[in-house]
Amino acid sequence: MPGPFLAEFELYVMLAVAQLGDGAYGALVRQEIERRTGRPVAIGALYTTLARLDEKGLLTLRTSRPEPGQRGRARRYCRLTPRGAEAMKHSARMLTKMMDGLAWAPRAK
Amino acid sequence: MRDIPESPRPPRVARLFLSILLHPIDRDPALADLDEEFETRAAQDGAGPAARWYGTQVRRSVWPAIERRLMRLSGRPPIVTELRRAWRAVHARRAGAIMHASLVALAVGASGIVFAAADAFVFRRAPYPNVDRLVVFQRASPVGVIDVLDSNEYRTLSQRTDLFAAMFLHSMGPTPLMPQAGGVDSVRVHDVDPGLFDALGVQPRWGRPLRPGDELPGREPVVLLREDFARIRFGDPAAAIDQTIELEKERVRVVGVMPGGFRFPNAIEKIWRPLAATPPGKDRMGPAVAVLAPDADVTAVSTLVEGLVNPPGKPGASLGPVHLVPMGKAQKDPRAFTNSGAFTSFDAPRLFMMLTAVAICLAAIVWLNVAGLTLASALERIRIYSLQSVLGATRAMLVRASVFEHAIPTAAGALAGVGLAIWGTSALAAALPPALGSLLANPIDIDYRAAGVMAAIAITGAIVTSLPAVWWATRPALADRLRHTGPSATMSRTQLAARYVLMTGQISLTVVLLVLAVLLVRAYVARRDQDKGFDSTALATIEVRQPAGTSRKPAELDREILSRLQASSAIESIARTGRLPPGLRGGNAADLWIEGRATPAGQVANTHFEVDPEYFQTMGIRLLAGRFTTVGDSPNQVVVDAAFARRFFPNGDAVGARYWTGRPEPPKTGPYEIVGVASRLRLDTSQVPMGGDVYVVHRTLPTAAAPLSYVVRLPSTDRLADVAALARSIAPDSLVRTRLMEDRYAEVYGDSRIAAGLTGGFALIALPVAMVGLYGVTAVIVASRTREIGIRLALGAGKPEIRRLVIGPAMRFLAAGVILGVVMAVLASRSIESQLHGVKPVGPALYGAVAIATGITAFIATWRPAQRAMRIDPITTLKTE
Repeated sequence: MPGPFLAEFELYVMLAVAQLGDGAYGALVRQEIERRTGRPVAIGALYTTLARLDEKGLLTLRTSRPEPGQRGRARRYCRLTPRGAEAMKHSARMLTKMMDGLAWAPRAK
Repeated sequence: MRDIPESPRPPRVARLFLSILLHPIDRDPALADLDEEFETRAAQDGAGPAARWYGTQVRRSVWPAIERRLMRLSGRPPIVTELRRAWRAVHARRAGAIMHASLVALAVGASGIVFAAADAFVFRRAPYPNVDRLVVFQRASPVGVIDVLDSNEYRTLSQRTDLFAAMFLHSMGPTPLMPQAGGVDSVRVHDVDPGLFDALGVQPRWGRPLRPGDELPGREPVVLLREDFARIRFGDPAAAIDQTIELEKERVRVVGVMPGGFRFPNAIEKIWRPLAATPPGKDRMGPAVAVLAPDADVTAVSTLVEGLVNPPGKPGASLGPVHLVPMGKAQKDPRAFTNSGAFTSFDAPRLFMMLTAVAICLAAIVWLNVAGLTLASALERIRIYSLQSVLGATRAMLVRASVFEHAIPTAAGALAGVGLAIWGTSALAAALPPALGSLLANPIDIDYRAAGVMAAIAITGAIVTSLPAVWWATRPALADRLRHTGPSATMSRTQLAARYVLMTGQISLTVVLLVLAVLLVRAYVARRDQDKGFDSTALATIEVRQPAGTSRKPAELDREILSRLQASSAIESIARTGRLPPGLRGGNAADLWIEGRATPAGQVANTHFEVDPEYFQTMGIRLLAGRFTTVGDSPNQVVVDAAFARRFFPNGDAVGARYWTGRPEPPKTGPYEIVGVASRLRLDTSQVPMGGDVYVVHRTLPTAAAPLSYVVRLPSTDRLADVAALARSIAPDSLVRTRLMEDRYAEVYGDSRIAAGLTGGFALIALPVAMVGLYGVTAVIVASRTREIGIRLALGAGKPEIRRLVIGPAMRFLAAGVILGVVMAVLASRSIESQLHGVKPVGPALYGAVAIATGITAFIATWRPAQRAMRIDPITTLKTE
């Protein structure tokens, strides 16, 4: 059964969270997407997308208590839900299938 | 102690701005993320680039943060998502949604058209800002309602400063010929007391108003122009100021241009000039507009005024007593002169009151049917609603989703309805006889009031219809609903009964509309096809009005027109006449004395009617007895019409008789010798019977006072343009009007055409609307009785029984509706008898035909649900129930 539809940026966010694992939080996710895609990411856009994915039940968000190791700052940690992981895999598969057979299909560097 | 170097900080203003913008839940972690990264960047690249990066982050976060706030505030998906979802649902029930939108369009369109007309004719006749404090003085006269005060009344009332703060007179001015778009045309000038427009609350948009003193003799004559007239004449209203124009006897300077759309007192006045000062010793009198004193109450003032100016036993029988009427409610005489000079008998306020009532009923019916459709679709989705609520959807969420779903066809329908109303209103305004259109100070259009009414109808209808149905279908009696998961939906007996009552009402109203439409169409056709007493096919009229001060003698022009047109192949014959039909009969009453009788035979109006010898042949008037007069006859040898002959010579001995007219005392005019009897010209049905016409073949010289009038027999109607071109080339500086005789008559019965057209249109709308309603009710009956039908089929019931079961109730309330409708139609047709022009409102054929039409409609509407009921499979039904 197809999972919920993921928009392009939503998919990037989900993939970045998956790459970062348990330690994924706002700043790291933002940097991860920028690093991998070269696309500038505004923090506002990231938090809006995170909230939307949370509402769809694809991510869970947890705000940490401010701790000394973080120079007294709170962090918003995120983690994929099973449904989110499924949706991400589904979207990625669809993308691969759609590109299959195209001469210019890019290879991951 | 060593100082710790202070680490660079993010730009404070940008950070503050972002902190305000971000949603409270995101604020701390998002700012912390940025701060952390800023520090890293500042350490790597320096404070400047890090600050620039921070600024870019803030700038790019503005819109996402706003979106996030909207998301959180509503706690729901964005509106676009809801609309998309609703659109999918609308798309799924395509036919139902189209029906829904069409019904809404009809309701909004029909109400808009009728309200726009009723607003102009009935509700708000004078659209001036200060209209609530203004009054006029109306009275009956032999030619209808007029608003005129005589000199004594004016003097008495204008002195009562306790009742009136100010009083202004106005009167009709000349109608000079002026160059207009497309040639020469006459322009109506109206004379007003300076200060009157100020009292109305309207100031010129360009230039200055008329001021006290402008009317004094010796001052430079000045005028105000209507906006569209100024635009045509000078290109730009502002450019009109200080220009001069030529009125009949004077050059006047334009000092102001009124705002666009301003009309006073009717729609035809284009120039206003100061009402000339009354010379000393003379009295002021005429139509008046008064401003109520600040504390005066209109009812109290009205009683006082009527006591003051209508003392008991007051002489002057020709004018009725004065009534004070608020200007906003003042009646315009509905029996207006048409351009052809004929009376119309159009009781517009009454007609449009009736049509407004009809439109409101139609709108109500339409909404009831929309409610029926909504209910039907809600019934179909009852199981989906149940499942959605099991999955956690609240009732509010379901209702909200459903409201979105209904909002789409409602909005589409309302939009189409507005388009329909705009189109219909302009079509109606164009279809109005010109004389009626010119009576309106408030034009027939979709203004903010009409738009408000349409919006109110659309919104109220949507709320009243969609919410209750969905509210009912989503009621939280979950267990109850889950028990009914079979294909049959439930409806209580009360709900079914309510629907029957509504349907009966709807059918009865449809019957009323159909009956009225048939009657009004027949009245129109009867008027149109009535014998005119002459042959009106390919007959045209020409009127030529010379400008004031022309050096050309009317007799010369007349000779040239006759000779050049007679020589032209564009006509068969031409005759000059003093009066063009359909024209006003009447004049000063005189006694008629017949030779050999001692007493006057009766009173006749001054009916002697001078015509050319070619007149009878050109007009195609039929000779009934004797002969037509010819060139050699004396002016006292006359032809009388059939009505005259019937009235005064009932034994048929008119030919050869001699008569005189005049007061009992000599001198009498005559004697006249009747040489022939001709068919009677039908002028108009509302005329006062004054005896009949007498034709005198007598060529008096035309005068400049009256336009030259001709009747022309054409080989075919398409030669009219040639005749018009020829006439204009003969009199290029004159106002030349050419018309087909049929068109002149069509103008007179234009009121019948409008009444028939609008009511017929409504009836045509009501019929399919009733069909939809019947279909809905029958479909619901089938849905609510599926189980019963299944059992009956299982027990061996045949298809005819099932058909009876489904169609039976529909036929019962159809019969009730038809009976009720016929009774209402009889009552309604009595109240519009004056519009029927002799067509009998009662007749078995009419009611039979209407009942059959309604019956066929009902049969078509119930056929499909009945077929569906017969296809029910008893085994499946009983298994699922």
